[in-house]
Amino acid sequence: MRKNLLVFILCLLILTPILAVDEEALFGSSFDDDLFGGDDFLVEDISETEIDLEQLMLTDEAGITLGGSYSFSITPGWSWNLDNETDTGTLATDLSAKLFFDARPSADIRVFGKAVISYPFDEVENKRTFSDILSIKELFSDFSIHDRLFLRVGKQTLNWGVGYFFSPADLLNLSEIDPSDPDKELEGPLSVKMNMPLGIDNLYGYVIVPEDAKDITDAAVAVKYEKVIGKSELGFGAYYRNGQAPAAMVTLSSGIGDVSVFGEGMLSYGSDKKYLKNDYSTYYENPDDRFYFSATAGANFTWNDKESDRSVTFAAQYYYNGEGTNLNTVILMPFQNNGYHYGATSVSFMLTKKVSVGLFWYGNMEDLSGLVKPSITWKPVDAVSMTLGLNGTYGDIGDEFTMVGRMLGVSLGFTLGEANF
Amino acid sequence: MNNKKNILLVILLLTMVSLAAISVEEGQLLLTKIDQQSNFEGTNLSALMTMIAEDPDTGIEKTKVLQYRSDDDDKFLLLIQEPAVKKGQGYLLIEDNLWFYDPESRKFSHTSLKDQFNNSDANNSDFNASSLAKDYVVRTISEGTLGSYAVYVIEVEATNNEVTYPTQKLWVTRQGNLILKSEDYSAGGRLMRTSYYPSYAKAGEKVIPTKMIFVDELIKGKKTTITLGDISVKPISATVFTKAYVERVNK
Repeated sequence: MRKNLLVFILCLLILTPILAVDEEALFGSSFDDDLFGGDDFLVEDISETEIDLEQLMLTDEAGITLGGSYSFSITPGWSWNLDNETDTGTLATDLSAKLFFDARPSADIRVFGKAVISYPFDEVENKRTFSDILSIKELFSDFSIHDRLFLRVGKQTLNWGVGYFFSPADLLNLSEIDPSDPDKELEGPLSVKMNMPLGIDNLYGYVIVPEDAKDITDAAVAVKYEKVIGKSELGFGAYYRNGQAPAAMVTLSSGIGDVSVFGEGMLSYGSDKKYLKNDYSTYYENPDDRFYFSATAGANFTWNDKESDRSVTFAAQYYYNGEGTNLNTVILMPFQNNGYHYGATSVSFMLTKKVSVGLFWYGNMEDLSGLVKPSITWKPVDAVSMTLGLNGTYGDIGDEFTMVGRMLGVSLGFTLGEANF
Repeated sequence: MNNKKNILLVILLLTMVSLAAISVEEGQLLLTKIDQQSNFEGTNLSALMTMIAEDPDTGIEKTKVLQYRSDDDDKFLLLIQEPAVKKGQGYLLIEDNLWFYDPESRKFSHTSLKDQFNNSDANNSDFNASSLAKDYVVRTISEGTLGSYAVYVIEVEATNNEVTYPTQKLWVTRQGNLILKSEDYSAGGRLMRTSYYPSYAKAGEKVIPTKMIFVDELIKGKKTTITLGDISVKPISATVFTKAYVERVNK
C-alpha cells in the first residue's frame, strides 16, 4: 500500500508540470485577481444605443464650435557674413492667433471659417496691409448630393500632391511648401471641390476661381483620380486654365516596411514662371512651345523606442525642377526654384520628453550651395520651449543660397504661452 | 500483483492527463472560434470609446473616440471626438490601407496597424477585426485558471511580419472562448505589454470587449484603459468609410 502511495505521489510530481503551468506565476498577481476573481457577469447583452453615431460628428448640439490657437515667440540672434566679414544682430518676433468656427446647423451642411491675426498690427509704420494683419485662410461649406457626390465650396486648402519638402504636382494651392517649414499650412484658392468615392478609390473635380478672374473663361478646371493598388496609392490629375500652361501629374504613395515612400511627376506644356534678368529691369520667360517635366521622390519614417521616450523622425526628398532657370538670369519667383536639382533632409531625435535635437539640410545640388540648420530644443513645461539653433549657408558668392556670401547665424528662440483652444 | 496495480495506476493517470489536455491542433481551432465570434460578419459595429491614458510623466489624458467597423469589407474608421484640439483626427482602414487624417494639414497619410493609437498603449491593430487563426500558430496550450475562471493558456507565434507582436500568450476562457488576458512579446522575446479584457458585450453569437486595459511593461505606471459605450450593431452607411466623410466631420 505504501508503495502504491509512493508511486502515486511520484507520478503526480512528474505530471504536475504537464497538467498545468505554475498558477501562481501566471495568474497569482493581485491585478489578475482584482479583475477576474469576482463573480461579476463577464458578458452582458448589448443594449442598442439610442444615439445616431453616424450623425454624431456631423452635428453639433450647440450649433457652432469656436476654437483656435495662440502663439508667441521671440528669437534674438546674431549673424555673420563669412565672405564680407560683416555681422548683424537680429530680433524676430511672432505673435499670432488662429481662430476658427465650425457651424453645423444640420447633418447635411456645415460652414467652416478660419482666420489668422498676426503682429505687427500697425499698417503704416510696418508697411503691412490689412490682409497681412488679418487674413482669411479658409471659408467654405460642405454638403453632399444624395451622399454620393461630396462638395466643398469656398476658399480652401486643397489636398493635391504627396511631397513633403517639395510638391511639383501641387498645381492648385496658392502657396508652395516652404522646405524649411514643411508642415506649415498652405493657402488654397477659391474653388468648388467635388469628390465622388468609388469604393476604395476617389474621383475629384475642381473648378478654381483665381483672384484676378474677370469672367468665367478665367476659371481653371482640374480633375484627379486616386487609385489604390495593394498598399500603394496612385494619383492621376490634370489642370487647365486659359492662358496658362496646361499640366498633368501623377503621384504615388506607398510603404516599404515601416518606411513611407512617395513620388510625384508633373508634365506641363509651356511654363508660367518668370525670371528677372541680370539687369533687374526685364523678365525672361521659359519658351512655351515645349514640354517641361518635373519630378520628386522621397521617404520618411518615425521610429519610437518602446522602452523609453526616445524617437527618431527622418525625412529626405530629391526634387528635379524641370522648369529650372537660365543660368544667366536671377530667378524672381518663386525664389526656391532656381536650378534643376534639389535635395532636402530633416532628422530629429527626441532624447527625452523635454529635449530634442534636429538637423535640417536644404541644398541646390547643381551649384552646390545650401543651408544647414542644427538645433536643440528644451521644453521644460508645456507652455514654454527654448530652441538654440545654428544657421549656416555654404557655396560660392552668387550661388542660390549664398548670393551675398556665406552666412553663419546663431539664435535662441523662446516660445511662451503657446496654446490650442 | 502490486506491480500490476502500479502500472494500472500510472496508465489511469496518463489517461486522465490525455483526456484533460487539449492538443495544439485543437488550440488552432480555438483561435478560429475566437475570430468567428469576435468578428461582426453580416452586420456592423459602432461604439463610442472612452480612452484614459495614464503616464507617470505626462499625467492622465482622456480621449473620446468614435469607432465604426465593417468586418465584412475589412474596414474601420476611428474618429477622435475629444479633446477639442484633436477633434477630427481620423484613422481610416480599407482592406490593406490605413490612412491617418490630420485636419491641420488636411492631408491623408499612410500609416501602419502596428503603430500606437494616439500615443497611447493601444495599437491601431487593437481595433481591427480579429485574425488570430490567420496570423498565428499555436505553439503550446495548457489548462489553468485566471482568478475564478478556468482558462486555456495558449502561446502563439506569428506566421507573418504584418502583426504587431510576433509572439503572444493568451488566457482564453474554457467556456465561451473569451480572451481575458494576453501578454504581448517583441521579436526578442521581451514582454512589451499586458492586455486585460475583463468585460464583454454580446450581440447574438458575437462578442466584443467593453473594457480593455493595456499595461505598458517597459515604463512602470503607464497604462491605457478603454471602455466601450453606446454600442450599435445597426448597419453603417458605406459613405462613412470614405475620405469624404472623414473630411466632412473634421474641424
